[in-house]
Amino acid sequence: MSSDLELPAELMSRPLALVGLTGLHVETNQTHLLIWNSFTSSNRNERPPLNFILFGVNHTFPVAKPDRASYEWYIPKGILKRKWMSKHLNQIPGVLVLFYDLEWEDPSWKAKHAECAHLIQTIRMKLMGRGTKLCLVLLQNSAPLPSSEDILAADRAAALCQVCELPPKSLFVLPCRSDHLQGYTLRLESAFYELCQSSYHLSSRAIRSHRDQLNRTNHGYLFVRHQFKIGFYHELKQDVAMAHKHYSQSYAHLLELRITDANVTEVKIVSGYIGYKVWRLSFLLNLPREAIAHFRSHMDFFRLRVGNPLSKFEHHAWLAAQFSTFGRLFEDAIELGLPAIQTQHPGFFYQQAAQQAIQRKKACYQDYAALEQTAINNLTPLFFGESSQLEFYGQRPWRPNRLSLEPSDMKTENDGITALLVRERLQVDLTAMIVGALTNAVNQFKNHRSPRMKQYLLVQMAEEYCRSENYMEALTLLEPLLWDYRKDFWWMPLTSLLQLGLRCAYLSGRPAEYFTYAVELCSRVTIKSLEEKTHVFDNLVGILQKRMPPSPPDSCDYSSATQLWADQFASLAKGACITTIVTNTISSFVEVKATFTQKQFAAEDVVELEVHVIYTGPKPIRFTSLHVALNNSAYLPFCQVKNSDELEFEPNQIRHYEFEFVAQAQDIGTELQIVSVTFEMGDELTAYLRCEGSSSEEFSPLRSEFPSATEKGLAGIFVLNTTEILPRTANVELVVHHEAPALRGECYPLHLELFNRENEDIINVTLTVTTSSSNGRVHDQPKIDGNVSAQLKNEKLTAGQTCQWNVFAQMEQPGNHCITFQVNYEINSEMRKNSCTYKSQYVKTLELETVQPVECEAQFQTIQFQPLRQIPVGEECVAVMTVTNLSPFPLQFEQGVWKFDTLLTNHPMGNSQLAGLILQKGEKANDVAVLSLDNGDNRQIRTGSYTLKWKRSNQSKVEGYKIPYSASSFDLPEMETWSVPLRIHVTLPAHGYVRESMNMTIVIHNPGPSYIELDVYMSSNDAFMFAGNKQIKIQIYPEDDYVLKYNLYPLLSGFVALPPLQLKTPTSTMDQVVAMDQSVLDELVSRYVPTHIYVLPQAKEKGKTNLLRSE
Amino acid sequence: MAVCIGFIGKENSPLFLRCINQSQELQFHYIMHTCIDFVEEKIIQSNKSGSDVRELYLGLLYSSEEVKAYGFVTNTKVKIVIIIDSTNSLLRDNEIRAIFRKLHNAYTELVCNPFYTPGDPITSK
Repeated sequence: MSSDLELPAELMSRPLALVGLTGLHVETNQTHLLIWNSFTSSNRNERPPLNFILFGVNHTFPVAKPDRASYEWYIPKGILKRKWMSKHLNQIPGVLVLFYDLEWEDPSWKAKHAECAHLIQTIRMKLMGRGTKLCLVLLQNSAPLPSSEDILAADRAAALCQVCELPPKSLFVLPCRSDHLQGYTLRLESAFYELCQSSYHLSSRAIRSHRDQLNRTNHGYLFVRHQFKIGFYHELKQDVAMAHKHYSQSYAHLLELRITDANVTEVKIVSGYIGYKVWRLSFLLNLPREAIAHFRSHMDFFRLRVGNPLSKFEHHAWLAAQFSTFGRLFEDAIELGLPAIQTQHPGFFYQQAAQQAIQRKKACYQDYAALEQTAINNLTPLFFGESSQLEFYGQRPWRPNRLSLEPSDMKTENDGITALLVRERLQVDLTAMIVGALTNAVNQFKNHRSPRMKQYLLVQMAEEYCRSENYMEALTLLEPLLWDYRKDFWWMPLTSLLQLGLRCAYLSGRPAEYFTYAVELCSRVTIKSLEEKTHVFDNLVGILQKRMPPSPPDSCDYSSATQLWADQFASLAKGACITTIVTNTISSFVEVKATFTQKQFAAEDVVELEVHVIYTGPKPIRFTSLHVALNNSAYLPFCQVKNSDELEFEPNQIRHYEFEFVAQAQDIGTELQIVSVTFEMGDELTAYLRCEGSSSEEFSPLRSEFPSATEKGLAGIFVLNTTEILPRTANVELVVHHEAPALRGECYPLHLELFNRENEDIINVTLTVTTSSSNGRVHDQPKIDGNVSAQLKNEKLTAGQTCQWNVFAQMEQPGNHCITFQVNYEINSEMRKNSCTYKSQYVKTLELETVQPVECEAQFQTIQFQPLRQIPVGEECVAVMTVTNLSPFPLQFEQGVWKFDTLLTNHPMGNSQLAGLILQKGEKANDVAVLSLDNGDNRQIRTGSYTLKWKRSNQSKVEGYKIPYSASSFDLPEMETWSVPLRIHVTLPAHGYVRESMNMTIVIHNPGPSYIELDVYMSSNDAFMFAGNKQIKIQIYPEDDYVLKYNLYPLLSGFVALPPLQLKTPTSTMDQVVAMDQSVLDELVSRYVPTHIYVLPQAKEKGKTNLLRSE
Repeated sequence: MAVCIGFIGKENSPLFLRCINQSQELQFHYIMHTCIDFVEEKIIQSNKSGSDVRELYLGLLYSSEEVKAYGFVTNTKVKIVIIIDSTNSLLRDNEIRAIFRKLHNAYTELVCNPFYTPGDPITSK
């Protein structure tokens, strides 16, 4: 039966209408080969669904049985005949096509057309009783003409049809010399396809016509068979809907059959076949729900129909086959685009298939074990006959062609099933089937977001591997599963898996794995009784003494395991380590919390470390040693317990261990971390239990994986897995003396005093002064330039002593600046009886206010100290610098340095007027320089800069250092230059006397390159009488002068106005004369010509002499 | 009558599991564990729909040849699962709802007990 369990290939393939081609001599005739190839070549998908088979002309087809006239006495022997489907798929064509070389104009037309008629007749005889349609294709070389024009062809075609007894529609002409052969064959194909459809339709109708002759009592099988055949014909003609309907009917008829022990196997097998068709077509018609429902009811109907109690294994095999068949159909449908959901997908069916396969194996093993050896020996080869040789599907080899309704011979029946059982037990690889089904299911559940279902299936797979003695695979599967169940605290599954693992490890002789599983089984999370745990615990301890664990109670053959264990033990030397278990990844029987007592330890303090251990195993235990590993292995000697008395635990006992040590110099400033806590146990063989923690979370109770640790005993112990070793606290004091505020740009002295308050001498003292401001500089010498930081050193400073330094800071910007003082030193100190050198650090920050020292304001003036807006060309003028002391301190100036632009000529003055001057707060001083602009025209020029060198006048207290002058630089304002068009020089005495004439000479100079004409007016006023030109027109050539002379006679005394001079451009000037603007002329006059003069009164005596003179 | 009921904590650890047939307890542990898959999926789907008021009763989680599992999630993400035999057709949706209501009430009373820490395994007399 097992071979019938697998669906036959003809059932599973998609039925294609069969077209037989005959009359083609492929081997000899090239043209024929071309035609054959054009039918069978590629692109089958786009062409009508046909299957072509080449038959020889003399091929004999299976002979049809004559139709039964009456079914009255006929009793069918089985349901579905084994050969029927393949016969219609591969042997009996729906359409048979005869190819024949015949031209319409063939000279021997008569002879040939007779031969053709003969061939047709022969074939027709061979296919007598079949619904096969015949076709004739004439192969012609000449190109065809439109049929209406070719009268000869029409006549001859009609004649041929008549002779061959073919309808005209079944005659075709194929121009085989044509280039478009493929096109012609395509058209032929669709014609064949139509003919096939009608052929199969006729066949199905023929079967349907039998129906009236059947009766329900005797012909139940025929109802099933006929509907199946009709369905199959419809499938051949690609009518899926009708096929589905008839298959469903066939299935319904099947369920109506009377099912006895004798025919139950056959009915089940056939129901599976018909069901397969129904489900497949349902999916094809996009009716997945219907398919699933049909399958469900199918299973419900047959689930309990085992038949002969001995064939239970067969029943499970059949069930498994059904589930996996349906699962595969479902999966195929999904691949074609059917959406599946999490609760309805092929995985469930594969899972059931696996379940049934497991049941099958169980039943098989049980029944086989119950067999007596004699029964096995008595079996004859008959019972092992191949069921695939039988006429009907699903029948028994020992009961061939018997009417299945006959009561069967129980003895033969039982022997037959026994034979199958023996074969199943000895030859069939059941494990592969189970694992295969489970693998399919696992893939499906993985795809449909069901990780836990997947785990469950993997558990079953591991169990199956264990049963089939494939322990390696089982252990490999188990490892990740343990973690999956452990992490969510599913202790009962975990316990069961551990036990499975223990068993596999035992049977495959693996002490390390056995030990690991035993450790976890002994922990208190596992759901086992105390005795069981004690038992496991004894085995675990036994392994460490090279004692093999006792065999599990359900004894099978353990001799090989015993040998493996002996080999394993022999290969291990005394004291060898069998395994290292990382206990915080499993739920072990020791739980550990290791913590530093503080977050930070100063370098000179003792680092304290606590380890809390709770032991939850079933019996007292004694460990050999305990080590705490830190990230620096140098501390290992301080962090271990070797005394095994301290390492003895009663069940549920908690012990605390404290360790302390001094941090080493290289660890100062770094973090110390607890890497792991390791227990060693055993002496003959050793095992290590290591609790690892890479971060504080690993040990932290916040981590929820192992709530066991928090439940009791160790709850509430907060874990500090890392600690920081701080540098030693410094005990020195730094005092900074200075005179705030600092002045901008000044070399500002800071006097530092370091006081050693340590009890010991300090050595290698380094003081680093840094300024955070980008505009600040620090130096250890009174220099103006400097670096951002300065370093000062002192070899040794005795306890209680001070040392002093000076540093100089220079701030380029006003505002607040930070200066940091960092003192580093080393000190030798006695700690725990060993001297150690510590580094200490002391940091102080100073905030320094910086202000502007002086303000300078520059102005350009005429030589008469009149403010100038423009610098005139060719004349002397004066630059005046007003310096104000803004600082709170008196300032002393070294000198002010003018630096003029190269265009300006400076007339140097021997010494700066400011040299050596001291200004108090708020006082001002002026510095003056005379300069002239030799040539140039009207434009904006940069004039230069002024540098003032200064320092505090009272800077005295810095011993041994001379404070340099600081320089402040100021830019002089930009000025416009002015080339003067006329220069007027007036010569006049400094003062005059009343009634005493004085001379005034006015020289008008033309500095420009052009000729000038001017009208000069000299008006009179009350204070003077004058002699000279009152109104004159003058001409001045370039670079020439014109001199006007006046004799003034003052009439009044005091500061009196001079007679006003006025220049005008004449109204009638020539074209080439430069006309000057009146306003420019006025300005020139007002600038050069004095307006007033002091006139002194006459002295008394002099007045007398004057009187005398006048007399 | 249900063959097994179970409470599963919000971190998916088993809080309580009781089944009729003690010998099948292990198997029901496995099945209960697989039910979390379906519960989680249903919760994701109901979150997607975005309605504020979530229906606590999740309905049928899945049905296999042997058993049917129904799910219920409290607002604190404690899952309650009822497993009934596949052949049992007496328990309709309404009855299942009623059982869930009772179980939910029982759980609420348990949480009100000041000596019970939520998330601990539940022990029952």
